Order: sequence, then C-alpha cells, then structure tokens
Amino acid sequence: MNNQLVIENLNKQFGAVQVVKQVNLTIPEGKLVCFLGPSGCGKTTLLRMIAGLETPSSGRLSMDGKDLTMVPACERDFGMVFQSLALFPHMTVAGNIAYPLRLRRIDKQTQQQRVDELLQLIQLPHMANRPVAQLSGGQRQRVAIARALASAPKLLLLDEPLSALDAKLREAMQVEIRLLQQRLGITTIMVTHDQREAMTMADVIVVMEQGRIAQIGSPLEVYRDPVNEFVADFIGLGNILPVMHSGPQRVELAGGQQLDVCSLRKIDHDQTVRLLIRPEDISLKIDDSRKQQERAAVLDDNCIAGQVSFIRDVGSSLEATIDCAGFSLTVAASPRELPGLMIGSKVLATIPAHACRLIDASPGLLAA
Amino acid sequence: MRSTSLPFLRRALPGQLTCLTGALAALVLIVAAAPIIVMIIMSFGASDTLAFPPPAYGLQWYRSAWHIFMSPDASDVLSMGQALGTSLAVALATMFIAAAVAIPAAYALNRFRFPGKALVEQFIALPMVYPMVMLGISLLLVFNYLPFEIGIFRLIIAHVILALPFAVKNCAASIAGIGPEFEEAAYLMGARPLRAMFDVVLPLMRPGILAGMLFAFIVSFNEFTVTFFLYDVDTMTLPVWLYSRTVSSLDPTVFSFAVFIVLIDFCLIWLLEKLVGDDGVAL
Repeated sequence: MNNQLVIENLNKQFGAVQVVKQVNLTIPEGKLVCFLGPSGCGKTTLLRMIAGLETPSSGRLSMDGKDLTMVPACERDFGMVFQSLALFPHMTVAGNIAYPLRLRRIDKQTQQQRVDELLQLIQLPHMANRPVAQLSGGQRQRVAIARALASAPKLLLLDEPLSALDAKLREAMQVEIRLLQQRLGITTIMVTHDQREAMTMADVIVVMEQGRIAQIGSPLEVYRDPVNEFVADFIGLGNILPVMHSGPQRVELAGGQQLDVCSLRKIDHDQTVRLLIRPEDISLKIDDSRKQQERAAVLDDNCIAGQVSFIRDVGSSLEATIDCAGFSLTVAASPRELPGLMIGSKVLATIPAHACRLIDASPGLLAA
Repeated sequence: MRSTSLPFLRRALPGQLTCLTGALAALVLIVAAAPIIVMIIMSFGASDTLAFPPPAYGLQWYRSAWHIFMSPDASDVLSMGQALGTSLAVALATMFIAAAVAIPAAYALNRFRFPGKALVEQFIALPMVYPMVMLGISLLLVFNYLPFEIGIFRLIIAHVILALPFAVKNCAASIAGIGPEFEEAAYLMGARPLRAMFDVVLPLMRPGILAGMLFAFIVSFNEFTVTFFLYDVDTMTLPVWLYSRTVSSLDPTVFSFAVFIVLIDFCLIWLLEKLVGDDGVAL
C-alpha cells in the first residue's frame, strides 16, 4: 500500500524566473492535500508538473515507486478539473464523461454503465443528453468532476475549480467535493488561494510562498501554529504585533505593555519575532472600573485597556477594532455577549498566555 | 420637454442613429452597390449598344446567354461550360489546399513561440498587399522556368497564395478562442496530442475552418488579375472567359453571365453567414 505520490527536489524555471524551488513533498494516499498561497507563489505550476503538463527543470516525481518525471500526461492516469473546467462544448454531458472511457477502448455497454453510475454520483441522472452549454455553473462543475473521475484515476487534481462560482454555491460545492472525495477515498490535490476553502476541504495544507513550501500541516496546525509571519498573515485573520523579549515567556509590546506568552517553538534571543493573537482568542469586556488601582490589578494579568474604533457586526458574529497604546487589536466576539458596545467604548481585552504565540518575522520573504 | 418637439436638433443617445449619420451610411451603401445595380439593369437592357441607362428593356441578353451556354458556336475559343468547370475545379482545390495549410499554420502561430514568428505572420499576409500584376508576372516566370508543365496547378498554386491570408486569419480567429486547457484536459484523460487535435481542437475550430474555406473558394472563383497571366487555352476560368468576350466584341451578354456569377457569390456569402454567424468571420 505504497500508493503515494512522492515529490523530490522539484524545481521549475521559466527563463530567469524560478517559479518552483526545491519542493519536497509526499502526498499520502486517500487524503486531500491543498496547495495554498497567493497568486504567483508557484502552486499552479507545481500542480501542472504533477499533471505532466509542465516539465520540471530538475527533480523527481514518483508514484508507487515508479518514476513519473518524464511520463507524458496522457499516460499518467490522473484526473484533473481545470479552473475553466474545459468541458467540451461540442459533446453532451454523457459524451464528456465517456470521453476518457472511449480513449481506453472500453466497450459501449460498460461505458454507458459507468456514465450512469457517475451521473448518479453527481446527482444529475437525467442530464446525460444535455449539451454542456445548457447546464448551470454548479452542474458544469459536477460534470467536470465526474469526467475527471470516469477512468478511476489514481490521483485527482483540482486547479482552483470553484473560483468561477458565486460565494454561496462555492461553499456548497466545497462540502460536496469534500464528501465525494472522502466517500471515494481518492487521493486529491487541490490548488487554491482561498484559505477558507483550504481549511474546509483539506486534510493537509501546503502553504506556498514564492515557489517554496512555507509550511505543511493539518488546517488547524497551520492556523494555530504558523511557522512564520507570512503563514500567519495568509491563513485567517490575525493580530500580528512587533514585540521585544523581556524575559523567558514574556514580551514587551510597542506601548510598553508586558504580556505572558506561551511559545512552543524555540526562538533565539536575537531573532526578530512577532506576536500572533487570533481575534477569537481575545475576550472583551466593557471597562467600567472606576478606580485606578482596581484597573491596575486586572491589567497585570494579560489584560490590555483600549478604545473601540470600529465595529463590524454581521449579526452572527462581531468584529471590533480596539485601539490600544501604540497598536490596535482585532477582536472577534458574539454580538450577544457585548450589548451596548459601540465606537468609542472603553474596553478591556484579556488575552490568555496560551493564545499568545511568538513567530518568526517572515524569514521566507527576507531570504528571497 | 422642448427638445422632444425638435426631433432634428435632438441629440442622439449612444447607440442611436441621427439623420445625418443615417444618410451618410445610406450613401455609402448605394455607392458600394452601384456596380451590381448597373450590371443588373444592363443585363435587362434591349439595345445593342452599351448606353446607360438602356433605352429599352427586355430579356434578349438572357436568351443569348442561354444560347451560348447551351450551344457554343465555333467562334468561341472555349465554351462557357468548360470555363465554369475549370473555375469550379480550381476553386474547390484551392479551398481544400488552403484549409490543409491554414489549419496547422494558424495552430502553430497561436500555440508556439518560435524565432521569426512575426516574419511568418507578415509573409502570410503579404499577398493582400502585393500588387496583383507583379504577382502574376512573377508566378509566370517561375512556372515557365520549371522543366515540366503543371497545367491547372499553375492556377491552383496562385489561388492558394491569394486565399491563404483569409483562410489563416479565420482559422487563427477560431483557435484564439480555444484555450490550451481543452487539449490539456484531453491529454489528462489519456489522449495523445494528435488524437486530442482531432477529437477536440478541430471540432472547436470548425466555424473558423468553414469560414476560411468558403472565403478561399470565393477568392478563387472571382480571381482575375493573376489568373490572366497564368491561364492557357485548356485552363480558362470564368472571369477570364467573360473578359475575353468583352474584348473581342463588347456584347451585353456578359452582364447576364455576371448576374449569374454574382448570384453564386451571394449564395456562398449567405451560406457563410448562416454557418458561422457574425462573430466567427474575420476579414
């Protein structure tokens, strides 16, 4: 059961530009792996090299121990869904799905059976003879997936397949694709620049930055424990603040405020670090303490005083920007917990030490 | 409110025609159609001279044209039927050869980067700006230099050169609308490049290919100047035959024939529009 894709020292150069740099990665069998990064980070090129649509400048690709590096795309037996879907407009839905089977000279009856089975799977059983042009966006999406799955490929590649859909349909399709992938247990690689999509769907997220892999981990690992500022900033909302060391597990913020932190990573004393606080880890309280000493007592305990400068209340959740001495914090809360909160309110933000993580100040960007 | 009562001074909204622009457009259309209108009027004339407008009208030139077509007299170098046959054969051959050259050319120009690509594009468009008379003379010199006779292929080669810009442009316009991901999708599904070409690229290019082929046919069918230098007695095309009749004795029968040829062209252009619609045709 060594049915995994292994990528070793893969590089890709377009002229003078190195788009993919020394990528080493193993795609575990049956998992959904997401290549996540901003546009131009090399994620699509990496996927195209896996697909065989781009020849690596150097490095090796192998599956089941077989070297794939120079195998042409048509012999790799991978399924792929393109960003534009690339459904063939001159064929019907059934014609599109049957195309990979036709190429394999499978007899007509088996083809028909397989097409029916796939149409069931994507819940479009009566669409077989429709021209592709008559389908809605979501239906096309499903047909493209069915076509990619038709020949029962060893690997499914998805190149930002949902980017053309509107927000609501996209969220629904994310769940649908994820459920389908888990049901079939097919190893899948998806490229996306949408961190929410990656967190919804992936078993493993590979964050890419300027052609390199910045971090590999489960969605929560990448979210909770990013390796550097780039990853922390790219995944989710976060307060990333410049800090100074002021003792073991203790830092000083720009305004002179001291915080206890809990750093899992080993960080050298002379290293430039940032403090990452996720908005949902901060608990907010309206500041009604009258006496100075009273407030001083609470402030000591990882609590920061500030003033609300902006509120985004979307009903289900509330996001407030708090101006503190020398920096500002974004806080996520439930609107029910904070009745009467308004712009200008004085508040106290409590940040538990375990929610304060020290991270590298983006070494990737500096090195490049 | 007042502006609506003065329709001539009203400013047109974007997308609306004013009286002035409408009149200008009508004038241009009339000038463009004038030769065909004159030709049709003359073909229905009933005098022996070429006076315009004809003093009387009748069908005598159509009768005479029918007579010449059915039973050519000995004074004709070549019958019209033979000329028509040559024209059709040359036009069909031109159409298929131009397509066979234009499809791979358009594909390569769209998909590949290679040194001298801009030069190749210029060369393909060259016949559109080259003086036709010079082209005819040059080709005549080349063909006479050849140690063997190539007969009708003198005309076919010349016509393919003239039709190629139109064929390539139409094929190029259609391939430009087909992203490489269609082929790539076919590769991923297991198609070799040639198979993907036939299964995916060519069917998607079809409107452009058909338009290019029809253009090639029309260019060849109507071509006169270059053909005039290259034809011989056995390979006279219809336009050259028509011309030869007006030289020997300017008889208005040619107008009747011309009406017939224009009718064929109209049918072809109508077919073209029908096949590809407005957006598929590149001129």
